[in-house]
Amino acid sequence: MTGTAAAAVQVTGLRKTFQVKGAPVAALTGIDLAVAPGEIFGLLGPNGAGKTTTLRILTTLLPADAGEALVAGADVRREPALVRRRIGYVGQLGGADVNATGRENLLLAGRLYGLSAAGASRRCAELLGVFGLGDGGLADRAVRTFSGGQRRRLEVALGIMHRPGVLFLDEPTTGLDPQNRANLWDQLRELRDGGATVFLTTHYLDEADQLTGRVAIVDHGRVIALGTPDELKRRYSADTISITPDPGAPEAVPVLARELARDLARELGGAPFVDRADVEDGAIRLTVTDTTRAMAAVFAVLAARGIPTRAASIARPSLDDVFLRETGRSLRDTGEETAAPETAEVAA
Amino acid sequence: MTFALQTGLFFRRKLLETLRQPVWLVTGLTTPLLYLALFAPLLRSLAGGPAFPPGQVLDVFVPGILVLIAFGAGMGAGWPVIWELDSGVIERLRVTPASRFALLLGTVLRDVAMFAVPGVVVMAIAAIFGFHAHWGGLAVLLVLLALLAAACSATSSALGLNLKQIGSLAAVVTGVQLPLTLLSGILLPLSLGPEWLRVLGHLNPMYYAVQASRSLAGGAVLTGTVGLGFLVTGAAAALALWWGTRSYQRAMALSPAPGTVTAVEIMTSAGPAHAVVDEPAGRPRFLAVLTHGAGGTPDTPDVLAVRDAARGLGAVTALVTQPYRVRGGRAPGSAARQDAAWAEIVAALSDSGLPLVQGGRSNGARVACRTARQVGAAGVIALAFPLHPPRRPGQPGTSRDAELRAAGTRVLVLNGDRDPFGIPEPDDATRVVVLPGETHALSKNPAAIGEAVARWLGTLPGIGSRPPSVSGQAPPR
Repeated sequence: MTGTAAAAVQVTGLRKTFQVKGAPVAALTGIDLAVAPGEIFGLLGPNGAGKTTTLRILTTLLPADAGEALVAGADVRREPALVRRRIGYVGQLGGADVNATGRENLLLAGRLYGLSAAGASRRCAELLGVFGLGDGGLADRAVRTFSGGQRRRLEVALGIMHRPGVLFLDEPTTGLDPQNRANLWDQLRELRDGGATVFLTTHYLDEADQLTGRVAIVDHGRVIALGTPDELKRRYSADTISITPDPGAPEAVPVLARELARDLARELGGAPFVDRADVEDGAIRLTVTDTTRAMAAVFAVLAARGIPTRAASIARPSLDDVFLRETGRSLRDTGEETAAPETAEVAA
Repeated sequence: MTFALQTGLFFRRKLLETLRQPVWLVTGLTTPLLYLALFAPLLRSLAGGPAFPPGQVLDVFVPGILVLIAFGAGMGAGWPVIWELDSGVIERLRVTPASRFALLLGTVLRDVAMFAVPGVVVMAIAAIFGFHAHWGGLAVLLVLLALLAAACSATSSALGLNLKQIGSLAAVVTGVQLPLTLLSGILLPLSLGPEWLRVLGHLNPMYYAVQASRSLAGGAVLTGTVGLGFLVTGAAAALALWWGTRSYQRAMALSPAPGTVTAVEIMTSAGPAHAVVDEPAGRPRFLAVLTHGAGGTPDTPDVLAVRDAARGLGAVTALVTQPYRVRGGRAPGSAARQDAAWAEIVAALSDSGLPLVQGGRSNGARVACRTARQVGAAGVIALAFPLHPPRRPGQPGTSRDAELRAAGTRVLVLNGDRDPFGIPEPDDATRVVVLPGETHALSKNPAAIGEAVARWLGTLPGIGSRPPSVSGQAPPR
């Protein structure tokens, strides 16, 4: 965590209430977070958690009822013009003008940020190349005729025309097929590598897990967990090692599981790395806290006993386990994306 | 300087938008000319009557038409504003350093131009037919009516930004239009009417613009009527510009109806397929499974237009990338294998017992037709159905019309009239729509595709019986 002075985004006590049919509905009930320069930061949560409202406040689109927000060194409430000059924004609705061509969209954005005509056209050519929009006269066709993936790439290019220090994206990959999604992730990583701060919202577990450096999990307008995906998962849940041994007879597996747990405890010097040992479908599932050391120990024990192993894998907890622990609900139960837990095959 | 530059950029953007829709240009010019040609003759018989002001009919009538052009040019501004709000354009521009006043002014200046050009044309043509043109007065008149057009344009933009819905805007604009125009004496001078009508007219700001216009057209520039006209119209314009700018400062789109979008992988006998599934917030009414052409992706404008039309009618939609494309292949390979995988994909997606509509473009359209009977589809949407290989029409054995005819369900075909793969005959399917100017890509006018598909889906049993539910206003989250 960097000091507050250097933070790209610094938010304290952000609150917002909407009037819906005359009744107040609290959208944000006190958001606190800090984002360091050069990181990809994610807001993860179900629909209605307050992600878009937070983003709209940070991008000066919406005034907060209470709280402070510093973005790229400027105060969102007192210096909105300064904030706008320093940030880029890719909204959920996209925002490309579909009646204009891709090039016209980019040039206008560049000029609005104060680039010269020549500067805008240089930058436009550069971005058309980076985002794969430069071929076959595509850039000079009306955006209306673009495919969904091409349009989304153009919209991200529009957000970074002026090389902003902080880029905000609201649900950037919703509706994209896996290939376009992976492309966009790569482009966001490249932006980060170029020194930009990327702040995005998502309701996809795998996106928060694989793309973001740190993630804030939000629910009912507040941050319920904040950290790197690995930290969060480790804090709330342990890894599981699954081994399918071949001890000769299936009945031998439960016995072996008990012995394995005992041997492992000895091997690991009594340290409580193995929380539980269950047997399921002929596989031994060990819940461990230090996966790397436990895995090495498991193989050592099995080799010493001369028992062949048919398969072994590690299952990591997902961010959904974190959400579940904090809210008692699963993100998946809210009807959102169901991503398979990250599974790494290590031996066969 | 930056402000002037930004205003210029926005003006250019709006002007290009208009120039690219020649329909507007044509109607913008023909409507006033039709008034001149068809309405003026009716007035001739009234001329010289006791209540009619002295002078030629055209002298009375032309200033009224000019006011009407200014009013019409301005009041149309609100519609594209709503559309820009919904597509996120305004939200994006609000996050740039651009001045909100410049943003408004870009549209206002375009509308002033859209008044001035036809206005001058009408003056010139009317002059040929006997309108006594006092050119000095008309120059001042142009300035006055430019102010009126600006006031209307800014008001319409502000209404669009605040009402946020086409229906509400249409109700307000049409509701206001008639009393404003009739009570200003635009077409027939109010002096023809009874006392109460004239009193009511004085409460209408446009009345003063019309009175001043008649005075200016008659060459009387330095009159109290003209001064009053400028005062009232100028004040209206200032108020409208302030309201419009303020509306831009706060403009926010209505939140889209909450639904969920999920990317799923489906295992088939031909390998994994991908699907992007889009579920509406309420209970879905049918399932629409759509796919790409050979070597393509399922997010082409035509497929997206079908997806949006189906979603608008309350469908769960799935955009499918077939296994051979997930593998990176460009050709679909054996039709039997492709069809078998497709049936597995549809089975995996349709566990809910909803009516099924399936479709695709080009090769995808063929798959949808070939498998329709097997998967029990209630309808098939065939985009750019490739009737025969390109440049080989009419060769025996090459036409694929049999695939269309064998679908065994209702089939909608949408093909471009310049499709080198041919155009199915009207009796090859339940309905064949030929889109003018489109090639095999069907990328020029997705809106037309969406409209045709929505209309056709509405005729399907079990799908078109109820109107789609309208989402309520919810706070942005």
